[in-house]
Amino acid sequence: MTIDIASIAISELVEVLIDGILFGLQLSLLAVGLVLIFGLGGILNLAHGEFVIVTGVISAVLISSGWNPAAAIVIGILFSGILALALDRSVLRPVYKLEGEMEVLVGLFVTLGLAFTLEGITSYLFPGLYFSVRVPVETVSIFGLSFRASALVSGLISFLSLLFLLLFLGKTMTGKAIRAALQNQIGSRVCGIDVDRMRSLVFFLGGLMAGLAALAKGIASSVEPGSGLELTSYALIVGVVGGVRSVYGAMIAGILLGIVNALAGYLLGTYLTLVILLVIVVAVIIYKPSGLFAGGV
Amino acid sequence: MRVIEIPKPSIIFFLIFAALPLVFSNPYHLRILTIIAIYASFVYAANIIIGESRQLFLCMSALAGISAYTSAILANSYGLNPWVTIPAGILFSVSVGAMLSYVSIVRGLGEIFVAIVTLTFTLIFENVVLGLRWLTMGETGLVTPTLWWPFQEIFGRRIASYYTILLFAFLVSMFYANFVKSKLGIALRAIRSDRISAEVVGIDVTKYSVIAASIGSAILAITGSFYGYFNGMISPGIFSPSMDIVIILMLLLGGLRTLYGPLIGSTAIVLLLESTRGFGQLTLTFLGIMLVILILTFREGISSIAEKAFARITSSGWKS
Amino acid sequence: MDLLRVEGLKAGYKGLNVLWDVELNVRKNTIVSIIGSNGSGKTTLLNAIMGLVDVSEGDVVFKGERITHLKTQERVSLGIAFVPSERELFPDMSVEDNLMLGAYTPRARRKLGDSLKQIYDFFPVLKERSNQLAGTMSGGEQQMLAIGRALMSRPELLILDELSTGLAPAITLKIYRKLKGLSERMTVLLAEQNIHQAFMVSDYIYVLENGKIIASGSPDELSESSLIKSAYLGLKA
Ligand SMILES: Nc1ncnc2c1ncn2[C@@H]1O[C@H](COP(=O)(O)OP(=O)(O)O)[C@@H](O)[C@H]1O
Ligand SMILES: [Mg+2]
Repeated sequence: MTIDIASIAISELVEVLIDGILFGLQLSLLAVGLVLIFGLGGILNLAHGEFVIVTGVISAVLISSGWNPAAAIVIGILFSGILALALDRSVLRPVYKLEGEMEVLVGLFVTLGLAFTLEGITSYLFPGLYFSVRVPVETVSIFGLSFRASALVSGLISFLSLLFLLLFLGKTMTGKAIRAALQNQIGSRVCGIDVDRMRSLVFFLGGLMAGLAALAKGIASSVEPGSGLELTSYALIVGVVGGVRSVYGAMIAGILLGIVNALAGYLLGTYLTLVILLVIVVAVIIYKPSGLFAGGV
Repeated sequence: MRVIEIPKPSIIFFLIFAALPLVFSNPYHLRILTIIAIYASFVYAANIIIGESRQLFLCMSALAGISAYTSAILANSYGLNPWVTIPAGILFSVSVGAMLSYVSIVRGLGEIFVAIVTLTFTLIFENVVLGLRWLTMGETGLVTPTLWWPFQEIFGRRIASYYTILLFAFLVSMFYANFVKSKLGIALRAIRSDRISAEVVGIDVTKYSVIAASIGSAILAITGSFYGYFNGMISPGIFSPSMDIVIILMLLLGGLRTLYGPLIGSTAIVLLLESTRGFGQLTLTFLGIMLVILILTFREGISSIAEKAFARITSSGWKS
Repeated sequence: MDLLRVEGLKAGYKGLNVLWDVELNVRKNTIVSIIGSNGSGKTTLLNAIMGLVDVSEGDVVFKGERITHLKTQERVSLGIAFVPSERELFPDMSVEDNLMLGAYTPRARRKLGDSLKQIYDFFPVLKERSNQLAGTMSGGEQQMLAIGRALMSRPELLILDELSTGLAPAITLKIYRKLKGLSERMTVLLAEQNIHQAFMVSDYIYVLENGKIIASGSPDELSESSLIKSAYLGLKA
């Protein structure tokens, strides 16, 4: 009898852990864009969560007007990328001309203003709208453990998106040039790399990653206008814990925080979970402002 | 003994506000006037913390909220007179504000990390309030006990609360005018212009920054409590991160580190927010666009631009 | 033919002008040195040629074309390579990735494979360490990597700032010998504080002092000049 109880508890724990990893992948995907943009643009983009909302809103509107869902989602994701690119080319231009701490501060407030702007527009135009993608199967059991199919698919999409990003940054010449620009701007220019173009590219990529995060979140739960700043704070939490300039750091931190989130939720209940995550962030900043996994891009 | 300075334009401004209820006496207008006075105090606090001592606190809403909740909860659960519990709330907020400041300085966090830590703290506050439903009533909000406002028997509660809050804003404004010229204000200016040299000449950066944060927190705390008692109820929605944005917007619009900026900024933005109420969520968009334009085009704010224009007019008049 | 010409150049930093009417010519397939004491403006001059410092007056002409207003990366595409004194490598990337990025321009990328092989032959130590992170290498190895990265762009003009700093004299000598060998195919412009080595390898030398060219000539001509003898070579005039 006792053995039975133990095995039930362990299998439950494994389920919770895997659930945490799946959610963590979503967090990582949400954070990588923020981290990329901060690393090269020097801008802590508080409008990052709005890119997620924008993909959700565009996709939902297109789907409800009869579009093929896949096409609608692709358009939505591309739109977020283009929006990020447009911000880089327009309002953020004057910010880059500033130097040091001033650039970061002004960038912070400009993107905060943009976040409010987008949050206002999307909630005003589409109140009550939400983007959610149904997976036909409810649960899947693997080795006697059961999982929600939507969580699995969402985790898989996050994983593939992150893998794509890693391969792009690690294997292609353009990806290497982006990492070069992140590590040393003078060195990059001396190699013939156009740092401004790399930055625009990074904004586009960051927007795409946010769009993919919208897809992952739409499958696991839903995306709705008005929650952009909340998503931004999740991305910030992950980014800060991972080291705000490190893409790999953000990926690891996301998965780790996903596990903490799931365990805390399982053991302590949902409301305390977020508080615990936030306390972790404060502790990390105070203990090691450069992040736990800083270094390496 | 230094003479306390009472700038005339400030007096005129407050006299006008004191006279306004004679014209705008309906409850709706009185409410708007009171909210302007509340935000004016908030913005002075921001001017001390963010402007004078350059600590980018994005937890001003939380500091105001902590005090409001503490005082209301204590008064409710022990049946105490709120005037007795308000000091407890202030003490709590000031300790938190001082601690956040102390930790950020000792750990050498740059402005950006101070911003992230304090923003995170605001989110923690919000979630704790939401979670401690049995104590705070969560999202629904907590009905605050009735506070006795001076002279409310004669003028009625609305008028009495308005004048109390306005008088407090006036005192805060006088305090700020003298603060910038005090030893503390001068030390903060030295730290601002060159922190290293300030340290070299023996200015204790930690001490002065923590004091500035504590003073700012106390103003936020008192005003936050008044806000709660005036409003009749408090909720996480009132003390939310967007309150910080509104305060910063007012500060930037009026002019960072100016005496009249907080008055101009709070009046302008409260009126703007009231007049755009019909647009619902689009109000956020207005605020956002304003923030972007303000920060990119004139970071000096209205009040210093007006001052410069004024100086130009008077000096050119002199020459001719 | 002059590969590079600097004409009446004035340049500096915010509120501080450093270079005053600098004139300089670099003939094809020669090695030209700029010598001068610390702070005389050598780095500023090379940075101005590369577009890393703002020019307020005068022109930089490469192959007869004004390049004064081109961005750094555009100058690199035209065939100028630069080894900054701080090396400016990508510390968290492998040696091979650093080298590959040296061939980022489309012109160089086409011959990436060949160039890589040549650099590895030229600096065998880089081949041994091709997978090591650049930031973890010794100063001398980093200097070779910086030169290798610059050569990967197959430049017509190679500009080097203070090659000898932080290097053992024997290694510096070795690198200079290799550069001398390259000068049949390539033109080299270098800034040096180490006068003796500059005299040994250069075809022509400019002396910079307080942002002005105060003398120039072949090493033989300059060693005859009493000014240079006393000020730089430590000889009695
Ligand atoms: N980034 C900079 N900002 C301001 N002044 C500089 C900067 N770099 C160099 N200088 C000044 O320019 C002058 C020339 O410096 P530099 O070109 O580095 O000389 P060198 O390379 O010959 O030692 C020096 O007086 C130096 O102080
Ligand atoms: Mg130098």
